[in-house]
Amino acid sequence: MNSLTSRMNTLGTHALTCLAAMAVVVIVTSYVTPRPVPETDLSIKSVKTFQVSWRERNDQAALIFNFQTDLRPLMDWNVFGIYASVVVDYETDLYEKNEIVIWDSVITKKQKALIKKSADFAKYLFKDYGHDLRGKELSLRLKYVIMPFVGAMQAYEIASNKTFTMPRNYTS
Amino acid sequence: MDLKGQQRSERYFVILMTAVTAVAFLAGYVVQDLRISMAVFTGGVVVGFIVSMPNWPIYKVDPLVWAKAEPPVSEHSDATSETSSTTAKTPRKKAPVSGTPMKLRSRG
Repeated sequence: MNSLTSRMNTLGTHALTCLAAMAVVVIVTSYVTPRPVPETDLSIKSVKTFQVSWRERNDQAALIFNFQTDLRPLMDWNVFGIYASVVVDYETDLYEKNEIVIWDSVITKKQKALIKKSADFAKYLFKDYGHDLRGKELSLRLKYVIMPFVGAMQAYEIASNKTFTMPRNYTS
Repeated sequence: MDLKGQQRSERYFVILMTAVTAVAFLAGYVVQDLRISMAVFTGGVVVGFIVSMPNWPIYKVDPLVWAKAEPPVSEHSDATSETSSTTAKTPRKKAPVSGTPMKLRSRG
């Protein structure tokens, strides 16, 4: 503490210690605070096209879905962003568990955390590895990962209680 | 900056930073925005550096008091005993007076 640079070193170290202490308190606060579960309405309405892609020779469908959720109550002070994705689950003879993402988004602003889509196209084509999609029953899930400023990322998911059965035949 | 001034400047910074950290956390929590916390904290750090880093006059009010210099011991007083015998133990210099403060470098 006898010279200017020595004082700068001491004071800067102490300031960083205070910052770390504040970060720890913030982590504890957001860990203790209960997170609300967003109200979600998620269902597949219809299939626009359903065919075999000529290149990969697999089933693919363009889905039309209803999707409403309000992620705004999740955006508290320690949330940098939310990665939300809609996942389709189904079962085939070859693979027991199939998860296909048909929509996703990175939400960093509170104004964009209210999502309302009615009878809208899914963001991505719904593709299967083979030819197993005809007449399959699909269930849907909303997955969201909360990315905080400080602390660990947390993943949650909400299952939709509505299912959808794929048509028996391809559309032309 | 003298010794007491160093102690005081550090104490001021610690008190200020504790208060600023608490205020920054509460402000961010009330507004629900972590950027407010960081702004308040950064402002507090800048103020703390301005308060206790430069060598302000308030840190120079207790200067270190030095002991007075002793008169130099002359070489002629014990020159005869030095030439007569090498075994005679005669102190060439006087031992320092007890109670002399340690010489600290004091910059600024």
